[in-house]
Amino acid sequence: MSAQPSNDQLDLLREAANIGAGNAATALSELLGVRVRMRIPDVRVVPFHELPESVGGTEAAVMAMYFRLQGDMGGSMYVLMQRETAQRFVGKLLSESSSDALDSEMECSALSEVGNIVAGTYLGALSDFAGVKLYPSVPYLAFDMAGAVLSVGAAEIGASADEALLIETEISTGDVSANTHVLLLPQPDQLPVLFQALGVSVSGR
Amino acid sequence: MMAEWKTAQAPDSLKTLGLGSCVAVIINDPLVKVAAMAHVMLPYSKMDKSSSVKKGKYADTAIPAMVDALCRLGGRKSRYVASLVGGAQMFHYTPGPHLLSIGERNVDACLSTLHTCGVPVVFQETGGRRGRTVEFFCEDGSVSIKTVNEGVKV
Repeated sequence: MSAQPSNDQLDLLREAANIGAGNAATALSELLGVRVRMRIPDVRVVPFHELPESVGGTEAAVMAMYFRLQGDMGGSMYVLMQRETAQRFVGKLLSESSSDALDSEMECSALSEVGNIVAGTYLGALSDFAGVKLYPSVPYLAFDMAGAVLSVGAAEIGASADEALLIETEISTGDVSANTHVLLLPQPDQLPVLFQALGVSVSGR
Repeated sequence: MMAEWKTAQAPDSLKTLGLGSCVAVIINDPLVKVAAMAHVMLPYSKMDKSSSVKKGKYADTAIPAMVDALCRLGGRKSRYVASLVGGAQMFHYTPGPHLLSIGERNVDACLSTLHTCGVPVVFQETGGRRGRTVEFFCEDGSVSIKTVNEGVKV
């Protein structure tokens, strides 16, 4: 990254992410009718190859929902979960006790709906808080290695940085095995838009 | 090793994990059994907006750097051959201003740069929608590819 964000900037991003993720967790809880907890968001600058670390490493198989950020700032957003978690969510939405596969169109569209609600609520609350326009694209789904799905977001910002500013939140639904990770990768050269909106000086360290 | 490159000699192997739209470019000299592997993220360094270009990140900078490094390890350019793995389109979205996905553009840039450097491509498994882990064995020049759904194939 050309200029490392200051601690003040990171703190404000964490606060904004906390509001976004808090709203997303509430929406997810209402949608699925389950209790949902969330961790305080983690905001840090990481080399690209470390992006998959929190979801089990580069080769960990994950169900990924990918969104491009649209509006005042570009970048990428991911909602990542274990396949079993995705199946459980789909099962709840479709009122089925268990769902073995995520093959059918209906199951994919149910999962997309989960992603839409998480990403839409998150970015909506973040936008309101910061006073910017930020919304997700339609969701794109893939089940594959974490490194492979995250490389798409890394390539989006790769031309302007060697590292990524990662804003990450973990949402858990009851048991530990059902954690959902929400990752935000803002376009580094457009971050000043967000910092300015949040009222923190862009150049100050 | 995303956006980086490295070299090895027999009996060692070179490995990179979780390739998505990125491409693993491998160049080796089968006679002296030296090889170099890059995990290329983007096609051309002219896209770069930062002050210093990291060579392993772009096809057009990684490949010449690898060719030079292999020569220093005792390889001879006339014997070099290349293998390409990766360049998938992980998500089915319209790539914006470009007609091709980033994976396809990465593969094109690798092929074109290898052609310019005079290195023939002897193995290519690129495109599709799968993430791949790849290992290259300097001893016999074989390539092993692992995917989530299909396991390992050599």
